[in-house]
Amino acid sequence: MNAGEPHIHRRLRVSGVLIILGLAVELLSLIRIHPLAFMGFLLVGGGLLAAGVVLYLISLVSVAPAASREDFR
Amino acid sequence: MGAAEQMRRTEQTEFCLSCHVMEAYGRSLRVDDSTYLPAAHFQNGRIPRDQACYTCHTDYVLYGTALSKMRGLRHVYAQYIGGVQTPIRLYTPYNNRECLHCHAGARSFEEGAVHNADPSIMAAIKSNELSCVSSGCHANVHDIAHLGELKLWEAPK
Repeated sequence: MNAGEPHIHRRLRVSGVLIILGLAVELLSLIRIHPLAFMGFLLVGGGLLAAGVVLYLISLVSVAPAASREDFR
Repeated sequence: MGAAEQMRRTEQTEFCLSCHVMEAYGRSLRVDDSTYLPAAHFQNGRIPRDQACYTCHTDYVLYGTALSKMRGLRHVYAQYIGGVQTPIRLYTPYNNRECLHCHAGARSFEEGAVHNADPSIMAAIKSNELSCVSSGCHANVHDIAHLGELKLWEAPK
């Protein structure tokens, strides 16, 4: 186990939660046909989803140099 | 999939009329008078009833749908934060292109006596120099100011 792992695990967990929340909001927004439902889908659901994906990608990128140094030691 | 479904929903008449300010425009689709252009189109199935607003008020150009969605976001802002300016006006004068999307090539339009009364008329209509609506020929549109005085049609269940 390298030093970056707990950190990446926490980030991945948070990104997972954000994506699930985003999907839940998007699902709920389909209940009604209304402009506010559309805005909820676009801004809240889409925002959470995007934040989750970005956090996931950042967590992968930020841990890579540390991991590769460990591998080559 | 959810995004596609949401996009489809934004095209529905129910979606457009869910804002209070649009209710009268929705009622104007049921005016029991065939000279009222939107009502005649709506009641005779010339446009899909579940996409009535979208069919006539979306520009039929490459980015027409995207532009409509952007305008829609502005409408939501006006409805809930900025305030709706009355009377409601179109952003730009109604373009014949939206009429011709369906009517171009239709026999009633191409062979119409008034449209062909002079050779220049058809060319002027097709180039949008002579407006179908503001020229006065089909000027009876959403007359919400007099809606209370007009008889409304009830669609059979």
